[in-house]
Amino acid sequence: MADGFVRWLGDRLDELPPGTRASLIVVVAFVVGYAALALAVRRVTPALVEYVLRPAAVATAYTAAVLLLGVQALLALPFRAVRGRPPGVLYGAGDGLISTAIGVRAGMRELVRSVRRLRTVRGRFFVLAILVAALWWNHSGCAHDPRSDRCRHPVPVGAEALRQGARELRQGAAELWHRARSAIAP
Amino acid sequence: MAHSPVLYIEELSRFPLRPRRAPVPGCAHVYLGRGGRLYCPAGGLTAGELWWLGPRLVYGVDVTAHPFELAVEVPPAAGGPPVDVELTASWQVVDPVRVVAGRLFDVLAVAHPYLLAAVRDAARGVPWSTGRELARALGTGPLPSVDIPVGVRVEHVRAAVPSTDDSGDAYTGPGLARDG
Repeated sequence: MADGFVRWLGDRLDELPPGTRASLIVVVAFVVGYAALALAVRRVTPALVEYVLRPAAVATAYTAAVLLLGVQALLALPFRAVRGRPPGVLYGAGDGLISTAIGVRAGMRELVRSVRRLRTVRGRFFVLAILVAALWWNHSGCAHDPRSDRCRHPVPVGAEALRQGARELRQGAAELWHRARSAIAP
Repeated sequence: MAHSPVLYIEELSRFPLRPRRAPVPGCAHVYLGRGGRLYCPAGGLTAGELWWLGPRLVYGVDVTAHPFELAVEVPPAAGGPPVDVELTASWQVVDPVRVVAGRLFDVLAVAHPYLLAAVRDAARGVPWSTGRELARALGTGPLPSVDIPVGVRVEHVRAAVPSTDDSGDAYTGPGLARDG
């Protein structure tokens, strides 16, 4: 996905000098990655857990429990037909089903409470995550042929691009300064 | 001390799922069904039966024996001042459904007229007008058990007529034996 995004961004910045273009790609990729990660962690994940995962898990657990309680009630019927007491294992099974369903509900409530804390995750964790992801991307970038001299890992490419971009920026600034001086001083 | 056989009443609902209150030894569960029917299944309903039958209420009914003492005033058949009789007995629920159906929450209040009638029946056939005569009429043995039609039986009924002289002893029981 990162490869595709970088390629798409590169196509949009085709007219810029190569160093500047590569630097912009690195900076934009970092900003977009940061924003996407923050959105996913702080907003999307808590909302998904609270409004999708929790109701789905509780509904599934309750439905399964109620259906199995029906089976348990059916198994108790022959004993009731002779005014007898069902064996203890049937009581235990029913109680176990109820406890499991209640446990799932309590667990999901606890999970929602924990996930809500993600809303206050600090930005430095996202920076760290992006760095880790970049290292992983760098590691897997030439996974098909790690010893190949022709394959260039993304991190050195990005670092080189930033250096080249800075160089081009300095040259551009110097050129602009020279032109300005020429225009002012005849 | 309260003499109520109903230990607790709990409203039941299917949701949210809740742990079943298991009946403890000496306690029977009586359920009020959706159609208003009362029933007392052996051992109480299982969790599955509770959910699928969906009773509205559960009554915990004490089915253990409860000793008690009760004082009754027995008026002589021929007229005259009533004689105090002290009863010791024990009550026990024999039909939890009838206890709930009869809304029995004070056994002694309900048992009082039945016990009074039992004392009168025990002394029937022997004319009496004083405490001593009533004690002789009652004898020393226990009175017959009394079935109260709301699902309770009173057993081991013993009657004692307190002495009205200065000795403070009873005419019946050990007192009657002493009097010969």
